[in-house]
Amino acid sequence: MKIPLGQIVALGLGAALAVAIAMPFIRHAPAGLRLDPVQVESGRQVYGQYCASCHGSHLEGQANWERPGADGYFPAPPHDASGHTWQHSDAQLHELTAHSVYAYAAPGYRSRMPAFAGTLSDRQIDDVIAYIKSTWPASLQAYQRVLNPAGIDFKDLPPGWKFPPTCRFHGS
Amino acid sequence: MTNYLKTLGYGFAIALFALLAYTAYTRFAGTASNAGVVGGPFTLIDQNGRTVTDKDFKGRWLIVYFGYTHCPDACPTALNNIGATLDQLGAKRSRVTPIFITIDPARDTAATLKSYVASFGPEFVGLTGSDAAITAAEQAYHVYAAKHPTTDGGYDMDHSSVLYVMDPDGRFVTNFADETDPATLAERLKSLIP
Repeated sequence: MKIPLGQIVALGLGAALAVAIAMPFIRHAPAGLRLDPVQVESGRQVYGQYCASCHGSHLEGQANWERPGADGYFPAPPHDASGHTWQHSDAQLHELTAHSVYAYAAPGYRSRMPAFAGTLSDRQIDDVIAYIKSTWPASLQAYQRVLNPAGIDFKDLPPGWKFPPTCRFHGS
Repeated sequence: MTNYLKTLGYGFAIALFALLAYTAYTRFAGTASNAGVVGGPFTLIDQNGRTVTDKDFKGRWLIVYFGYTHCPDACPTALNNIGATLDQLGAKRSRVTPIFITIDPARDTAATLKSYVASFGPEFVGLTGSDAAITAAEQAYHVYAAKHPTTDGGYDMDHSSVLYVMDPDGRFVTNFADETDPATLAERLKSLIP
C-alpha cells in the first residue's frame, strides 16, 4: 500500500497545529520543578534586553556589589554562583523583580533596581528566573528548589550532586 | 479533500494526546516518585553505642539532619528549630523521631553525641559510624562535607545544612532549609502526617 504524500503532510500539519495551540498553555513548569528549555530561552532573551546592562551579560553583577557606593546605593548583585540569588525562593525572586527588594533586604539597603511590573509580564519575569537558574551548578539548583514550597523534584540532576555547603564557619 | 481533513484531525489528536500525557507526567510524576532519589539503607551506631539500621525506624516519621557537635553555627540552630517544632506538633509529636547524623565521626563518638542530642529534646537520636558508613549516608542524602583547617591546628567542617523528612516507610518526602522557622515546619509536618 502506498501512502500519498498529501496524507503525510496533512498528518504533520495536524500535529503542528496541536503543538501551536497547546504550547502556550503547557510550557510553564510548576515552581520548583525542572526547567523548561523553551522558558529558559525566552528568559535568556529578556535577560539580555532588560537585566544584563546592570547585572552583567554573564550574570557577574557590578564590582563591589556587597558595599554601597559613594551615593549610598548598592551596586547590582551578581546572579551567578558568586551571588546569593540561589538563596531565595521563586516567589521572592518574582516579587523583588516585579516590585522591590525592600521586603527581603536588610534595613538601610538602597537599590536602584526599577520595579519591572508593567514593563515585563509575570511570565517574562518567571522566564528570566528560569534562565538564571539554568546557569547554576546542580548543587545550587538543588538548594533553591528546597526553598520552593510547591514541590521538590531532583530526578533531573546529574548523579553525585550534593547540596551546597551553606554552613561554612571559618573561625580561627 | 475530506480524506486529508480526516488525516489532519488524526495528526492533531495524536499530538495533543502526546502533549497532554507529557504535561501530566512532568507535573504529577515529579513529587510522587521522588522517593529513592534521596535517602536509603544505612547501618550506623546510635548515641547508646548500639548498631542501628534504617529498618529500626520503620513506622516513624523522621526529621533527618547532618552536622557535627563542634559546629558553632548552623547545626545548633537547626537542632533548636527541630526541638521547637516538636513542641508545636501536639499529639503527632509521638510519631516523629528527629535524627542527627554526624559528618565528623572522628570526634563525634556515641558518648559525645549522647549528651549533645539530649540537650535538644528527649526523643533525639544521634548517629555516628565508621568513615565508610558515614560517607555512604552523606552520599545517599546528597550531603557535602569537608574539613576546613583552623589556625589552632584543629578543623571545622564545611557542610550542607538542610532538613529531610522521611515517611514511615523510609521514603523521602521533602526538604526544608535549616533556617525554616518552627511554626512553618510544624504546620507542614502536621499536614504531612495523617
